Amino acid sequence: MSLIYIIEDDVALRRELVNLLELQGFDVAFCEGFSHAASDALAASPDCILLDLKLPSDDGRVSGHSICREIRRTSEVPIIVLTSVGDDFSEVMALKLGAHDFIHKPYRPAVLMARIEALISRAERGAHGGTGSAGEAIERDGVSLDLRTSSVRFEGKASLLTRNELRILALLMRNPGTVISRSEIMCDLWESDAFVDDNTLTVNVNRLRKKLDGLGIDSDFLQTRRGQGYLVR
Amino acid sequence: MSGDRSTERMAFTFGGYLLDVLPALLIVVFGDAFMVGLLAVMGLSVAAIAVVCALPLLCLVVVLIWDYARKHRFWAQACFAAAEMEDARTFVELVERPSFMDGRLAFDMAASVAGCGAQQMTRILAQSSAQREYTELWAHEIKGPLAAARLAASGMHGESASALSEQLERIGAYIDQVLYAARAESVENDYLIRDVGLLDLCREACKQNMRSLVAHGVALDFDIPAETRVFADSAWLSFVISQLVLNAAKYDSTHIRFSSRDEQAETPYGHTVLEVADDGCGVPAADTPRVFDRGFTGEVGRSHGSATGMGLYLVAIMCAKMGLGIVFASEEGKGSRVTISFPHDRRLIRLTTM
Repeated sequence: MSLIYIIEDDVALRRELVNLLELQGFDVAFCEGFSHAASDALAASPDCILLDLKLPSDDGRVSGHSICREIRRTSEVPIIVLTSVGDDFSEVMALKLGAHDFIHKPYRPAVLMARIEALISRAERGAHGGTGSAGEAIERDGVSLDLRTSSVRFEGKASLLTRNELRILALLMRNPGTVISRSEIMCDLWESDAFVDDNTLTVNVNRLRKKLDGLGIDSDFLQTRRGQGYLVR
Repeated sequence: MSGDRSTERMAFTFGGYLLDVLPALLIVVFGDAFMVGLLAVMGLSVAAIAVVCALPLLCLVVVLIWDYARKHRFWAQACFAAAEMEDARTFVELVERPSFMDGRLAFDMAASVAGCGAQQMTRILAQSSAQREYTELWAHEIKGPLAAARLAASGMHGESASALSEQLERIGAYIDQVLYAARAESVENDYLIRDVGLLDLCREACKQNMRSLVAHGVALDFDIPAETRVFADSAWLSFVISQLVLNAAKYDSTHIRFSSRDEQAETPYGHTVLEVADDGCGVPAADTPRVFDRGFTGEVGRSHGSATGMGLYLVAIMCAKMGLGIVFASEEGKGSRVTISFPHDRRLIRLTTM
C-alpha cells in the first residue's frame, strides 16, 4: 500500500485530505509542526509527498520552498505542490527546486487522485520496471469487475465493457448500497474526457444493463431509483 | 473629464483683454478729452493741444501692448496646458512662472491645487492597492476551507451531495471572479504568456465547472485538433473559457460547441481562432454592442436574474491585456458565438498590449 505524506497547515483541509486518501486506500501520514517537516517526512519514507507552499513561519525560515529543497537534497520521492491559482512565480520556483507537479486549490478530488496515482506509478515503473498498480478487480455478489481488461465476470462467463460502461459500473460497485445520482455519474465520466449528456448516459446504462442480463446477473443487481439515480446492491 | 477643458472657453484674446481694461481705458480717454477742453479754454493753439494730449494716449497704447504681450505669453501656455495635459502634476513643468503679480498668484495656486490633487491621488492609489492586496489574500485564504469542503462533499453521494458539490463549485467560480477582477483592473500586469494546449485547456475549464454544466443539462462538443497550441496565460484563459461556458449554461443552452481554425497562416498576421458557440437564448441585437461593458446586464441578464455584468467585462479586458482579439455575435432565440483570436507571432501580442 502506498504511503502519502501531507505537509499542510490548514487543519480542516488536512483532515479532509486524510479522509479522501484513506478512502481511496492509501496510507496517510502528516506533520503538525513545520520546523522539521522535511526530516519528519523523510523519516516516514512515503511514496509521495503533498506539500503546501504557504506555511506559517515563526522564525521566517520555514517555507514550502525550503522544505522542498531540503527533501530533494537526499531523496527523489515524488512531491506534489499545493498552491493557489495564479502564483506563477512560486510554481516555477517549486518546479525548479525539484517538485514533480503542482495543483491549484480548490482542487477537484479526481484531479488530485489522478496526479498522485500517475506520479506513484511513474516512480514505481522507474524503480522496478513494473507496470504500475492500475489493474485491480472489484467484487460484489459474485460479480467481478476487472479494471485492467475492462471486463465483467459472473459464474465463469465474461463480457467486455466499453470505457464508459466500465467507469459507470466501477463507480457503482465501489459504493455498494449507495444511490449514486445521474449527475455524479456524468461528472465522473467527464473527468475521463467523455463529455456525455443525459441521453447518452441513459443509453450507456441500458447497454450495461443488457450485458449484465446476458451474463445471467439478477436484474436487481443494478437498480434504477427514479428521480434519484442508480444503485448496486 | 469635464467639458470645461476646451480651448475655446479657455483663451486669452486681445478683444477679451481690451474688454477687461475698458474702465481704465475710458477714464484715461475721458480725462484726456477733459484736458483738451481745459487747454482750449486756456487758449492754447491747436497744435500744442494735440501734442500734449496725444502723448498720454500714445503711452497708453504702448503700455497696453506691452502688458498684453507678457500676459498673453503666460496665459496662452497655461490655457493650452490646462486643456491638454493628462496629469495635473505636470502643470508646473509645462508652464513658465510669469513675472506679473496676478499671473504669479494664478500659477502658484494652480501648482498648489495640483499638488493637493496629487497627494489625494497617491493616497487613493495606496488605498486601492491595499484593497487589491487584501482581496487577493482573502481569495487565497478562502480557498483552503473551500478545498476542504469540496473534499468532504466528494465523499458523499446522492442528490443532496450533488447539489452541495454544485454550490461549492459555484462559490469557487465567484471567488475566481473576485480574484481576477482585482487583478485585471489593476495597472500591474501579473500574467505570464506561454504556449498552451488549446484542447486540454478548454476541456479542463469545462471540468472545473462540470457540476453546473451537468446540472443545466449542457452537452459539450470539442472540434479542436489535439496538437493546437496558442500563446496565452493558461490561468487567465481558463477563467475566460469558464465565464463563457457558465454564461452559456445560465442562458438556457443545451449544447456548447468548441472549434478552432487557423486563419492567414504563414503570413505575419496568421492567427488561430477559437470559437465557442452555444444554442442558448441569445442576446437582442440592441444589446449586443454593450455585452462587454462593465456592469451591463441587458434584457436577458435581468430576465434570468443574478447577472452582475462583470463576467464578460472581465473577459474583454483580460483578452485585451493578453493581446487576444475577442468578438461576440448573437442571434436572439438561436444562440451566441464568441470568437477569440490568438496571433501566431508573439511579437504581435506584445505590440497590441503596449
